Amino acid sequence: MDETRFEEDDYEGAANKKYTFFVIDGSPAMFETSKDGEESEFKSSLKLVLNEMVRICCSRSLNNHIGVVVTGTKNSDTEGLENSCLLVPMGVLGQEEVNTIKELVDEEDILSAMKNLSGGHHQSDLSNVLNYCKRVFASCPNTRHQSVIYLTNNGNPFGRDDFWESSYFKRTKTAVTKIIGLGHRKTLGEFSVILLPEDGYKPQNKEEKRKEPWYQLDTEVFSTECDASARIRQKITAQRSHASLTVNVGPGVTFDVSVFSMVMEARPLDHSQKYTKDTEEKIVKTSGYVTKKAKLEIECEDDNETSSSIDETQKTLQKCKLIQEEAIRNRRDLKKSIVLGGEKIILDGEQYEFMSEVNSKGVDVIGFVPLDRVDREVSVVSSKIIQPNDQTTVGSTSIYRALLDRCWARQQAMVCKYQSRSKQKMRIVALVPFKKDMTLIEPKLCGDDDEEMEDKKPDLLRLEQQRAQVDSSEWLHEGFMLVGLPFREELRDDFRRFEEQQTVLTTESTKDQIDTMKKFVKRLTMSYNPSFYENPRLLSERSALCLEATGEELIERKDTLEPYYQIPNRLQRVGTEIEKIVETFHLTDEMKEEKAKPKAGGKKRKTAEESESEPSAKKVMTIRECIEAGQMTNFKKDELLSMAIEHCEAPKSIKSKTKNDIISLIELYLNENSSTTWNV
Amino acid sequence: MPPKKASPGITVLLIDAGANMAEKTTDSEKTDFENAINTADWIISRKLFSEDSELFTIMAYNLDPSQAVTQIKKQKFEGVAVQNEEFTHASFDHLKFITHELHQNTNHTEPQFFKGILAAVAILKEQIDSYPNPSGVTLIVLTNGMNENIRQENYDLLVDAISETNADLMIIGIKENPEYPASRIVELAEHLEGRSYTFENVSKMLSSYQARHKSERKYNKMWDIAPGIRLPVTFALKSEKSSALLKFKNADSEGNEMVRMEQMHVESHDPVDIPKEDIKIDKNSKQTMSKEDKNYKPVENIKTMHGYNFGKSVIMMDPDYMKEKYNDHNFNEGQTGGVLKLIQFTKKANILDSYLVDASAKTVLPSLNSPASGTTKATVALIQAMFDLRVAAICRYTFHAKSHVQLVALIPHRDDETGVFYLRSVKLPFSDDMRTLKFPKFSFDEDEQDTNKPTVAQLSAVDDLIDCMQLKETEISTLVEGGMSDPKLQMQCHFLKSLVLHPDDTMENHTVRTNRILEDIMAPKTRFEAENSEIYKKLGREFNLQPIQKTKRERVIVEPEDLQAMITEWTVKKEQVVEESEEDGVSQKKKKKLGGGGAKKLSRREEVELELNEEGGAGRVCSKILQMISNTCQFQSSGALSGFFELLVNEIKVIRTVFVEKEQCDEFNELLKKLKEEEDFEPFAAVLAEDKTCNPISTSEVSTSQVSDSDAAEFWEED
Repeated sequence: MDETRFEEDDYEGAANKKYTFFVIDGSPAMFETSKDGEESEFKSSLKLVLNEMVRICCSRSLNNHIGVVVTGTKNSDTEGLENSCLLVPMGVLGQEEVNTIKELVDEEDILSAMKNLSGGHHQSDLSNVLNYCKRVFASCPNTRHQSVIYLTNNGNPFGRDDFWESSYFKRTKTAVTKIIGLGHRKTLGEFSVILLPEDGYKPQNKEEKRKEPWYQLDTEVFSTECDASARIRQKITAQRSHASLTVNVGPGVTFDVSVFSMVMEARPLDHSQKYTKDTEEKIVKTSGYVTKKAKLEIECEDDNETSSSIDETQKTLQKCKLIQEEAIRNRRDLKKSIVLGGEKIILDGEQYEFMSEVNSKGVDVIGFVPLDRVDREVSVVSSKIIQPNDQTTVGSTSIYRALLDRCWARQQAMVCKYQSRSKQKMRIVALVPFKKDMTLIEPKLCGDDDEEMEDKKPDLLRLEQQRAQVDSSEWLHEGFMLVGLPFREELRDDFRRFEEQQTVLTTESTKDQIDTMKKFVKRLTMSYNPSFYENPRLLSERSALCLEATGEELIERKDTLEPYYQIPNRLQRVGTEIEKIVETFHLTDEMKEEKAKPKAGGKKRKTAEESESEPSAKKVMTIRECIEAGQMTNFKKDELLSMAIEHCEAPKSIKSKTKNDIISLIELYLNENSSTTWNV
Repeated sequence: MPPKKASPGITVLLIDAGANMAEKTTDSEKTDFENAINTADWIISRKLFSEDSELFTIMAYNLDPSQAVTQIKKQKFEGVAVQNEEFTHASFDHLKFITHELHQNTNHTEPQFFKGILAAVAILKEQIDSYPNPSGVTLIVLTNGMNENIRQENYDLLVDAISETNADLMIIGIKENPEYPASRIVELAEHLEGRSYTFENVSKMLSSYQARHKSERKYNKMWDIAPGIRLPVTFALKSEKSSALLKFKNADSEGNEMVRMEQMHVESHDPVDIPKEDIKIDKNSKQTMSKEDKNYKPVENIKTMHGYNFGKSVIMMDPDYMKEKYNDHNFNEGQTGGVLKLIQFTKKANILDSYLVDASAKTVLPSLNSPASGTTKATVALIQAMFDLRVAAICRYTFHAKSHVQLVALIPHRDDETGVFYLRSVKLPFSDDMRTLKFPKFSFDEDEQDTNKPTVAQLSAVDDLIDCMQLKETEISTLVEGGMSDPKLQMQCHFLKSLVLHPDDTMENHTVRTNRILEDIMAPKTRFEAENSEIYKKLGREFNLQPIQKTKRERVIVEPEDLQAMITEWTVKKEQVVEESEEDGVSQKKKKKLGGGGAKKLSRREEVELELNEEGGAGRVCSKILQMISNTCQFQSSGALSGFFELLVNEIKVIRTVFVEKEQCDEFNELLKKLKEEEDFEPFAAVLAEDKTCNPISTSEVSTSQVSDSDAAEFWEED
């Protein structure tokens, strides 16, 4: 039922391949350095390519095929590719390919290294290279996305100002058109030009842009929305929609949309395949479903025996045998059972499926609600956006835009019944409009009773939002966002907790207290967008993998999630504010008190840096801390038993239960009696 | 702390089965008796599926005194029936009792409300005697209260009896503003601080199944906002994508629980170094391992290396080294109970909707352990300060001492009802989690051309639509604010209940129910459509939406009889062709294959074998079949089409067998993936998914396969 399943790279499978050629301009100008000490643009290009190659190699997917070509070389060993050198032939990358590029980047004298490779410079024809790329694309199966990325520092290689008249430009234009294709149904073709240096001249208005030859071939060439590496990434990862659906507005009014995931958790690198250390043999898994009884029998047996190596072998054989001969290998063949209301109900696969099957694929508009009624933070679907799809229904874009414009202006959301595929879970969703222009929002006629807005000018809010957009333009898309509204079972009511807060915390914060905090907050308020923080785990995995594969730490391993107070200048920034907080809330006494207290949990109150080296097991801990740290299994059964009897009102008879049962009994008791705890 | 553990709550459901229950409340088609049974059914069903710990029994009164006599502790109650004197958890037996066994007494008899209550009280008392200190005692009476005449002395007796058991009295079924004698019963309920409802009242509350009670999962964290300043906060789950609400177990056909068992071993073609005799393990069956070429070496105690993919290269990494040098890539500081450390604040506007990655939110409040402490005060003040400044906090977060570090945002809110300030915690994405998407834009600069700009008339039509499709307050709370129960749960409960109680018409019954659920969800829209049909016409006119038939490939419309004819024709042709040489034209071959499912399987198989032996043959075989499937999928669906599909499935199976024999797999597995994932093949994929036998070739079949056994087995699974 997991809706993210179809988006995962692994699942895209062989049917969804992406082919990208990096074509690097190899003319002499690319090897020159404009400023002393700066690297040549050829080297920058190679680095951009290398980074992307490394990134692709460190992902879980094998669907990205890459080739690298350098133009303008004397020799060419490749048929059909004139005066250009194929550094990396189109294919799935590996250690060898990455190292080819890496060695070149590492050369002190790239120019002579290139000369050795290709025999020196010679004029080449870009259209010839592009035609070669097109032929390679055509020979590849299952193409979903074909892309050529040309890296150059030459604003106009076509030799004349009226480049459009030149036959070279015309040839190139034709070749580009072929690559982009005219919409062969599922293949997306792209041609992009990365013009170096990145901070070079960029025409602003359309008139000037039109005068640029590259603009004629790639309208995004001067885009400032993101930097070169981000653009490359965009071009390589073709976005496939999560689903194509029909939106039913009412009788006779339907249009088509595609659903895209905006965010998807990048999972840790796959290392499930294991090998024996001595012989590097592949370790495989035999698995199947056996009755619980059979499994217990086989596992208990081995507890009683001494485990010599023969026994291990025996056990392995025994297990394999059991799995191979008796197990049900296919999950489909299993039945499902549940005990309810005194009956054991057994369902076969068909019944089980039929039981919760709904066939209402698509988006069915139920009605409109004011936007502020939709609590987007409690969405139970990871964020998605829908975009109109004119390919299947003409006019989809028009009605989509009209709905978007009016819903945005009136701050209305569409509530819909939503099912992405016939066997996926049916949900109620809100389609929440988003447009960049805040000024289009119409003021409400009736008085705004939203207290949040009361003393703030709406303009200020808008300004904040507008500013936020500048920081995150890369991830800001206009359109309807899809918010999965929770069902009753998916939502918890906070009311009782709020009431409890109200009764326990009777004194309201004074203005002074709040102002103290405000000063602190203001000092640490900074812009934010997701690119600020990399996943340290992935970074570390990639760094290690890269080091192993290329001999160099191409990716730096670092913890990007450091708290601000570990960064000296940030800590300094709020020095006085922290003092003020300590003073206002009389925290000095409490801090001292805590330090003096040697008992439970005292150690963890020291600053973070100090506590890390402490071996946690030796600490005096409370039982609750043990549970949270997952250390319950470290206790002996007798210890657990006496704790359960002493603290948890457990009957003596639990002696007969297993260790795990006692642990869960203790945990359950603690959950139910939130005030109970003891030291261990 | 309670001195002694309370026993579960107990409830008696007392149903009036008298002749007076034959009445129909206005505008209801059902008699009061039917309503009572229906209500009782819901009460029990809800408890049953939510696995409520409460103990139950059902009684009825106003029955024929000559037939129904119940004896409780030597006391005889005539006209009273009890389902079971033992209290049990809500069960299907209860449901069977009320739906199958309990019948209305059509003879007019002396009203027995008094007796019924006394019997119920007696049974409650007996239960309390044997299991003291129940966490609650409830007496629910389902009656319309007609024809009851309670004399004052009896009234007093009832008050005493009920008070003695401490039972909550709940009367269901008395209509609003009742007349005498029903009003007497309402009086009784009021006197005892009980409640009375009409059938209608309760049917709204009771008309859906309930899920098991979910734990509230609260946990405390210390929020480090500065060196030495740690603010105590408590996290609690706010929203979460629900997983299975009813917990099914895997089972064999007898219902024995089945569990997954895995065994790791080395698979090599080296000579087996274990003497053959040792392989005979199971002395009873005396069988040896069937696959003798496999070397089942135990791997539990030997050192292993992890294989990481660097593109297509496999890089071996030593786990011990990873642990030592990289701490298994875990940046957790190892603090017990995890950490919550401030990284920065940022404007709330910076946390875009599109960043919400986790589909789960938590509510964060100041902990209440020491409400008067400075840190608690500081927490409260900080939250309010953040709220006033419209600023969210971004924090480093680990759940416990070993979990990997995460990034969370704490977003300030204020509860409307109580005015309490609180934080909402949501998980933020890392940079790699964000997808780099690019869409055509909808906003244009002045100098740009905008081809799809909506016209004024179009915009005004949409405005009208928004006006007329505004949801009502109750609909908003149901649909938008989590008032609706998960339809999947409702469907499952309904199905299971009907399977136990009426096994024969379960399927049909279920379809009806499913459609009702859908209708209920769409009810507001149905209303809009009825009220404002002209607005949809207007929209239709303004936008002129036209679905495109897939023009690239022509849609062929074939009548079923034509299809039948074609199948026959192809089968005949195929037979002829087989006789001929292998050097057929492509088109002929195609036809031949279409008939390949029948008796000539073997020859077809040989053909595939031959082709596989050629270079690149595997790819060709697969692309041909794909082409055929693609062509077939363009036909409009009809009964005869399934015949084609069947043939194609057989064809695929043949190909699969040959692939396995030839130790090839990649092309075939790719073929299956393609069939499963591309929309064009959806009709055919549905057939394969149904069939479930056509799985990818797994490692156990062909060792070069990238597909594990379990992945292969679950290939067509939807869950």
